[in-house]
Amino acid sequence: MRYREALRVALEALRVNRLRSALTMFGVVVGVAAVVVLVAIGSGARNLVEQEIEGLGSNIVFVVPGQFSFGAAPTVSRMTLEDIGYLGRVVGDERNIAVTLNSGETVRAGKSQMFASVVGANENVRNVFDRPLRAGGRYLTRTDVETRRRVVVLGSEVAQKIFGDVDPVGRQVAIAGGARFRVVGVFEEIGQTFGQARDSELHIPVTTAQRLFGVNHVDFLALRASSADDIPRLQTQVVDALQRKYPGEQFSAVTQTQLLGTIGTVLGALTGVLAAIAAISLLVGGVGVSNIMLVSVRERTREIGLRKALGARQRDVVSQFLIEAVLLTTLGGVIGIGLGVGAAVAIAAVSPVPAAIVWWSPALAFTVSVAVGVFFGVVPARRAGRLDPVIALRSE
Amino acid sequence: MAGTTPAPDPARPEPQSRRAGQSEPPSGARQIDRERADGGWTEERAERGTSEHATREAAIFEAREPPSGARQTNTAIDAEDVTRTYRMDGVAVSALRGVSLRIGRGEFAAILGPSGSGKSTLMHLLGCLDRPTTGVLRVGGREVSKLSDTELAELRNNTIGFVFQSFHLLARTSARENVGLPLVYQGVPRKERRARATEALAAVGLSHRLDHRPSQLSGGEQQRVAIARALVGEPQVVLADEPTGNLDTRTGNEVMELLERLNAEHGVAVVLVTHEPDIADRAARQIHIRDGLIERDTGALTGRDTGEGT
Repeated sequence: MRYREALRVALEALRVNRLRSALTMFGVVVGVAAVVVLVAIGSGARNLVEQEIEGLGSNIVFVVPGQFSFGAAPTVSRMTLEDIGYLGRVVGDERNIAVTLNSGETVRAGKSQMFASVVGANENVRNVFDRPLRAGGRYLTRTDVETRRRVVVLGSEVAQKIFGDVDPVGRQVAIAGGARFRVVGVFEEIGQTFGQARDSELHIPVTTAQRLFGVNHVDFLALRASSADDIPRLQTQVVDALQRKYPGEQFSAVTQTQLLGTIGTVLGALTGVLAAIAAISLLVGGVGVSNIMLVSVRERTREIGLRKALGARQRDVVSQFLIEAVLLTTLGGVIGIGLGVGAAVAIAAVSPVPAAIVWWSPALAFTVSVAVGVFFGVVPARRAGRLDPVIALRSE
Repeated sequence: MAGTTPAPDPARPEPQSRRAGQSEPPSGARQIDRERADGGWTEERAERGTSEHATREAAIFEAREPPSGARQTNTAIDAEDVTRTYRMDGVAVSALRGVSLRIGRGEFAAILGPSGSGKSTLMHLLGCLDRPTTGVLRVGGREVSKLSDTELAELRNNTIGFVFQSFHLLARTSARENVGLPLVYQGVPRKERRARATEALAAVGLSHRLDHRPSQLSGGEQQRVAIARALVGEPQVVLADEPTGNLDTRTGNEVMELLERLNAEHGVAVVLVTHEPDIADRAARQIHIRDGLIERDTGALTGRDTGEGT
């Protein structure tokens, strides 16, 4: 009963000082909204990456130079085309080894022009990564690679942008400012993988690419294992073989699961850091609440004195002011959650930044804002509760 | 929830007894008027002492108290050699230097004294807002020094009603809610609070101002709201600190008449703190305070020597 009364009094006090209450709440609103939005973006990014990696297909071992970790400076690859044959002899079948060499280049046909990711690939890329083609075309062949043919397979988006509705097979595109390539096939649309728009790729023979880019290495190798059980054996074999061939160099062979784990950890940590930064603003908001409550206690000294004279016990006064503080932050928290969820949904809708609301982030934000009210309300409330009624009544 | 209706409840004898008390006013008020017209009220009453008057009070209070109540005496406040010393910047300042007095139930007394005499300190002690430095102070039968802050708050809530010079009403709060405030801390349900506040406002003649806010009321009306608030919790004593100090003479008179009437009708003791002799003269008993001591007390109801005539 008394708590209901205290709640009513607190609501009234907030209503009377509307502007001040709103400004005080603002800090908490911003803090909570920031936490909710950043966590949503963080978990959205994580979901997306995980989906994409799963989309790469299972049983694939990626071989990259250097120590595999996110955030480490990329190591320049020393792997070459010969390594396909070399590793083929080690693992038994070179048809399951894909190599790529990537570069961003301009692509032009007639008046249409775009910037696209040009992938130098061998004939195995399509099988290893399972990339279906539209009917009426073909993928790169071993002969294309061996004879450095100027042929190209277009991603669906490239085809659409350069050729519109016209079937590009048999037509020509100019890559990297002049070299003409004949289109031999078009990929089915597959969407994004790994943060890269796979549909805006062009695949050309890796040998042609090496000449075009003036290099003789490949960026990375991918092997398809015959079964999941075969993966560990494959990983050690490949790394051992490469380190034998390139003494002093480091190589990593990672699987999709490991990629998922690493990326998950990195993005999880990133989300945590973002949330922590946002939590600091929540903390600052809490200090603001504390500050305003102290002002409020001072301003209402006479009221407190009167209430005490009329029989309010210390805990009645404490709970009145504590409820006021908690109400302030809880209201701020609810508004902040609303804004945060709204902003996350809006961001996900209008921008490529993924944002996913996970149930725990609004729940946590709410709990934290209540806790902030209790934590930062205790000091002012206890000060109010301890006021000497004689002195409080005398103050003007 | 049970108890939200003001219907008679066997566990709560107060409402019935209050009604019983109210049924008496006409005769009581007339009696006092007649006595005042005689001009010998004070003497008469003092002579009568505990006889007829006190018997009537006792009857009322017996009905008010639960049968098992420990407080069966006629004394509302009993101070024995009470001192109060403040420490200011390391220097001890004696505001009260040994005050003994008894306020009987239903008594109407005025505490008089110049500023700095210690009368405010005395009022704070009598109102249980403060504890004496030495001496024994009993309010409503409880020894104040032995009570915790919480018990003191509950004692104020149940035993004392305050009326202040500057009214001390909560702004932006209706008269009815202001009056109901002491009941909040008694844990009285909202519905019953409203009913009792309405009743108390009717008793001070403000039935037409229930939902007005203090800023919409005149000074006299505000003080009457404050008096209704002092009475709503059915205290034994109403302490009025310069209740007419912020009012003009005519309004002040009205407030005084109201206090007198409530004293007579409800049997509640009224202790008036004032520096105006005109106002103090209206009380049956004057207690003059000077330099932290009782200089003169015109009527120690219980006959115990409280420094009378010194």
